[in-house]
Amino acid sequence: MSAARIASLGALVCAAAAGMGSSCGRGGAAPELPAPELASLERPVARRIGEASAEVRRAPGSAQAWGRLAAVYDVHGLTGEAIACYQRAAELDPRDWRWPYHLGVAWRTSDEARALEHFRRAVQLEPAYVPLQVYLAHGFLIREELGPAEDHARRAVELDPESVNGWLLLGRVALARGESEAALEGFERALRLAPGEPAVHRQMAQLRRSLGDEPAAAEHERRAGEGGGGAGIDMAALPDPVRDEIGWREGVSHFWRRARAGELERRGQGEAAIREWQEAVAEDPGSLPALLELARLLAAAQRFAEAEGLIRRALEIEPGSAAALAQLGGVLALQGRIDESIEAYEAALRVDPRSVEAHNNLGGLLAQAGRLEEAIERLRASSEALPESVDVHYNLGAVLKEAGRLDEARRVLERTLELDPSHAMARSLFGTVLAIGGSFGDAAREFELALRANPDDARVQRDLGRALWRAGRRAEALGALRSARRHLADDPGIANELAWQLATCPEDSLRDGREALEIARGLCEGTATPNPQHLDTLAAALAETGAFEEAAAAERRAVAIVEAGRREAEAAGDLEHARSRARLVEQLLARLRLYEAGEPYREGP
Amino acid sequence: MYGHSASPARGWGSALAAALAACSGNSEAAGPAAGSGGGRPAASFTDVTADAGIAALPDRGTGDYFMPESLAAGCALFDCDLDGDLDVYLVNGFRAADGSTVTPQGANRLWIQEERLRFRDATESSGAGDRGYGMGVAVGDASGDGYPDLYVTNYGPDTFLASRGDGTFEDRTGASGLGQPAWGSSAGFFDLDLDGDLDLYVANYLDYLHTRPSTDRAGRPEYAGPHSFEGVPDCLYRNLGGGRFEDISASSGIANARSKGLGVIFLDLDGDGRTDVYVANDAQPNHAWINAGDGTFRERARELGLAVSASGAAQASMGLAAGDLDGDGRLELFATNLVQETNVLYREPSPGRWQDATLGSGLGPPSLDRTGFGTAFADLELDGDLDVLVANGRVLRTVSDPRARIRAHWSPYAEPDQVLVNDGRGRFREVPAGDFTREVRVSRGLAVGDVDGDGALDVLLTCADGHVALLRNGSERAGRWLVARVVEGSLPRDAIGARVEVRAGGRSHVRLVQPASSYLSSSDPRVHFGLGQVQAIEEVLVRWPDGALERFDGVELDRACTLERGKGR
Repeated sequence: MSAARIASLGALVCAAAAGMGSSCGRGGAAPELPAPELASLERPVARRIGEASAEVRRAPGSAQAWGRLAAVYDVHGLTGEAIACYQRAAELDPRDWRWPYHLGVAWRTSDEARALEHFRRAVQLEPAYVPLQVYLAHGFLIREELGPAEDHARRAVELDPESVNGWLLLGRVALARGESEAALEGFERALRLAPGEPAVHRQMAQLRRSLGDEPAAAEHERRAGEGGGGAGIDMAALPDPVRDEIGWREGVSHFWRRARAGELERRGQGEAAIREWQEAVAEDPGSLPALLELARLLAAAQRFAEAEGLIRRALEIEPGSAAALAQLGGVLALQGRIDESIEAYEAALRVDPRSVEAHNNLGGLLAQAGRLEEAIERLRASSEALPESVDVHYNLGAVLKEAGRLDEARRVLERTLELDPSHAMARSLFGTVLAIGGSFGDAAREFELALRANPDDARVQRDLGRALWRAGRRAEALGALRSARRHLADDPGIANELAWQLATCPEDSLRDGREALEIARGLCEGTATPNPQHLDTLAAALAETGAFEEAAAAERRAVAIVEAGRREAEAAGDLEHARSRARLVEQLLARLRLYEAGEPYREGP
Repeated sequence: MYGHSASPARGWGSALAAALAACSGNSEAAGPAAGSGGGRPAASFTDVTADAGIAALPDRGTGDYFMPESLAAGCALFDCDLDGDLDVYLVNGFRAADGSTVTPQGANRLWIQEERLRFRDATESSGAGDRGYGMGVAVGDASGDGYPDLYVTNYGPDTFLASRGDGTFEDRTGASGLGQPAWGSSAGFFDLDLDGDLDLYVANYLDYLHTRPSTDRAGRPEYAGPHSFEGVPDCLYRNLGGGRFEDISASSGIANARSKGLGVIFLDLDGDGRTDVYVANDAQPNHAWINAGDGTFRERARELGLAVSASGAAQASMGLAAGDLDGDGRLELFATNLVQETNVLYREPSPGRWQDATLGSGLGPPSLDRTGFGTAFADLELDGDLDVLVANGRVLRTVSDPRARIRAHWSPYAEPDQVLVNDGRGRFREVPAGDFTREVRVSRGLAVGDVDGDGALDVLLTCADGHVALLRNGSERAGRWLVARVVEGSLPRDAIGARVEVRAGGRSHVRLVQPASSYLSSSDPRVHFGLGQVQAIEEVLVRWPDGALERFDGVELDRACTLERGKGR
C-alpha cells in the first residue's frame, strides 16, 4: 500500500468522522468510493468488493448499497473503508439504526469515545436491541461512568431477562461501586443462565477472593479455565444477529469459510462444511489454503482419494509447501500407504526441518506400524533437531517405553519434564515407566503431580491407585480408585481394579467384600463370555463374603477361558502369548485351590 | 554528609558539574519556575534526536510479517564510560531476505554523549554492536568491576557484553554461562541472594518459528498473535562471581511455568523485605515470583491479587513501572496492556495484598483504545509527584491515523504516546506534552533519564520501524529537584534494589534504585526526585538491599549527587 493511498484513506475516515456530528443528510456530496489495494486481498474478497462498489456506482443515493459495501469491508477487517461507507449510508438514511450501530462496532477498537457516540445515536432509533444496550453498558462502564452503565445494563435485562452480559455488567457496575452483595447477585444470575461461561467465572473468582473465600475463588478459576475463551475478554460471547448476519452473508474470505465450516462441523454437517470449501476452491482454484482445508475435510470424511488429489494439486502450485507435504503424509498414512507416507513426511522435513508436526507424525507412523526401532531413531534425530520441543521428546519417551527400553524412556521423559514441568501426559507416562521399573512410590508422586494439572483425569487416578497399592499405601490407593470411578463410572478396568483391591486388601479395616461383590457382579453379568480377569475378581469377592463354592465356580470359568486362549495361541504358533496365558492359569489355579479349601485370597502385605 | 565520588572516571562529579554549569544560563535549569497562568504547569517535550546526532535504526518491517519485528526493540540510558553523562544504547534487529537473523544491519548501536546533547556513534569502536535479532537490554555491573555491563536479549541466543571500563565491551557470553537461546524479551539485574553481586532474570516470550505470515480476515498478511504459539519458561541466573553465572531456572522454580513474558520489574511484593520478580505476560495471567530467600521462588500472583485485572481476565501485558504515585510511602505497580483492555494500576493497601485500583485513578479510560508498551513514572514538572508516560503502538492493523508520518507498512499500527499528569493524590489526567504526544508512532521501548543534566527527566523512545526519539523535557517547572546516584561496594556500583527516601517540605518521596522496568528497556540508574516548592532537603534515607539503613544529611537541592554507602550515618 503506498503512502499516498494511506493518506487518502486517512482523509476519507476523517471526513466520515467529521460528518458524524454534522447534519450532511441526504443532500451531502457523495464521498469518493474507497479504493483499497485489491491485489493484496484474497481473490473472492476483491471480487465481492468490486461487485458491491459497482452497485454503489449504479445507485449512489442508495443507503442499502453503501451499507452493503460497508459490510463487505467491515467483515473483512478493512475498517477504515467500512467506516467511510457506513457513514455515507447513515447520511442517506438517518432513520436506519443499523448504520450508527455498525459504526459504533467499527470504531470500538480504535476510538472508544467515538464508538460510544455512535451507539448513543443508534439507541435513540432502536432502544430495544439488546446487544446495543450491552455495548453501551460496557462502554460506559470502562469509561467509569457508572450511572449510564447501570441504566443500559438494566435495560438489557429488562428486554431480555436471559442476557448473560446484562447481568454480568450489572454485577460489574455494583462491584465498581463497592457493593459486593449486589455484584454477587448479578454474577450469580449470569451463571445460572450460562453455567460454563468463563467471563462470569473469572469475575466470580475475583469477587470471592476479595471476600476472603479462597476455595470458592479457586473453583471459579478452574471452571473459567475449563470454559476456554481468550484472555482479555471480559464479556461473554455476545449473541448479535445483526452483526452475525452481515458476516454470514458477506464474508467470503478463508477466515469466514473456516468459521462457517467449523460451525457446520460442530453441528455434524460435515458435507455442508465440505461444500463451503468446495465453493472456495471453485472461486479460487489456485488457493493453497483452500485446497488444503478442503483436503482435510475430505480426509476426515474418509474420502481419501479426493483429498490426496487436492493435495497433489496444491503441490503442483507450490511444490515446496511443507504444510502440503505433511498433509499428504497424513492422508497416505490413513490409506495404509506407509512407505509413501514416510517419504512425504521426509520431504516435508527437508523443506522445513523444524516442522514439529512432521517430526512427530513420522515417528508416530513408524511406531504405529510396529517399526519401533526406526521410530526411535527418527524421533531421536528429531529431538536433536528440535532440542526445545516438548512434544518430540514426549513422543520419543512414549515409543521407548513401548519398545521396553525403560531406562532410556526414563531419561528422555526426565528431559521432557525439564522442558515443561507442567506437561501432565509426560508426567503420567514417567510415572508409568517408574511403576514398570518397580519404583511405585516415585511413580505415585509423578501421578500426583500429573493430577495437579488435570485433577479429573480418571485414568491417571487409576494408575495412581495401582501405584499406591503396590507401594503399600492401601487406603490412599482405594481413595484414588474411588475418585477415578466417580469420574469414569463406565470404565471396566477402573471398576475391576477397585473391586479387586476391596476384595483382597490385607488390611481388615479397608477390605469390603460386599462392595467388591457388587462391582464385580456388575462387570460379569449380562455377558456370555465374561472377561477372565473380571471373573477372577468376582471369585475373590465371593470368597471374601464366604461364598466359597460360588467363588470356586467363578474361578473355574476363568481358568477355562484362559486355558482356551492358551491353546489357541499355541496352535497359532504364538508361543510367547501361550506362555503368558499358562502363567496366568497357574495363578488362577492357585487361587482356586484356596477357595476350594474355604480360604479367601489376600494380596501380600 | 553525602559522598561525592572523588574520581571523575567513576562518578557523576566533575563532568556533570560541568554540564550543569554549562546550562546555568538556562532558566529551566536554574531552579523552579512558576506554572503558567496560575494553573498546573504544562508538560512538554522537544524532539532533539537530529540535533543530538542520533540516527534512526534500519526499518525492520520486511513485508514478511516476521513477528519479532513488530515487538522489537528496547533501549538503554546509562553512563557507559562513567564520565558523568548518560549515553544511549539502541537494541536493533534485522532479518535478511534469506531468513538469517544475525546480520550486519541488525547491529545494536551505542551512542556516546561527548558534550551536552551531542552524541557520537561508538558502535564499531565499542564492540557493543551485537548483531543478533535484538529485543531488550539490561544494564548492571554484573562483573563487579565498577562498570556497567550489558545483557542483550535476542530472538535467538542472548549476548552478554562485559564492560572493559573505557567505554568498550567484550562479548563474554560463552565464558559467563549466560546467553540462553529462547526468544528473550525484558531482562534485569538484581541481587536475589543478597550476596553483594548482581543476578539476572530474563523474561522469555514464546516458541516462535516463522514459516509464512499470518493473514487477516481479508487474507492480507499480518503479524501473528501470541495465541498461535506456546510460551516458554523464563530464565534465572545466579552470579557466581568472577564473571561466571549459573543457570538456576530449574532449581529456583522459575522454570516450572511456561509463559509469554514481555516485561519484568523487581520489588518486594509480599512485604517480607526481599526483592521479588513481577513478570508481565502476554495474554496470560502475570506472574509474581516470590523470593523465598534460599534461592527458590514461588509463583503467587493470584494469591497476592496481581495475576489479573479486576474483571478476572488475564490481559496482554507488555510494560511495567513501579513507584509511589500517591505519596503514602508504598509503591504502586502499573502494567500497560493491549487495546480494549485498560492499562492496570495495582495498589498495595496492606503488605502482600494488592488490588486493581485502576478504577478512579484516571489511568484506565485513556488507555482503552491504545496498546501500551514502554512506560515510566517520572516527575515531569518537578511538582513532587510522579506522572506516567506510556509508549503506544498497535500489534494488529486498524484504522490508520492520518497524522502518522511513517512508512505505509507501519501506519496502520501507529498511535500517539501519552502523558498522564498526577494531581498529587494519585489521580491522573491525560495532557498534551509537545513532541512526545504529538507524533503518531509505533512506539515500543521507553527509557527515562536526565540526559542533559538539567534536573528534569528526558525520554528515549524506540519504535518498531526503527525510528528513535530523544525527547528533551522542557516542561514548566513547579519545584526543586535532586538526582542521586546510589552506590555501594569497594568498586562502587549502583546499589540496585536500594530504596531511597527524601524528606523535604514536610513530605516524603520514595524511589527504588532499579533501572530495569518499562518494556525491553533500561533507564538511568540514578534516582530522580521532583520535590515541589521546598526550601531545603531535610534528610535522605537509604535502605540498602541488605536492609541496612543509612542517613545522609546536607544534601543540597537542584544538584546531582552520589550517595555512597558508608559515607552517611
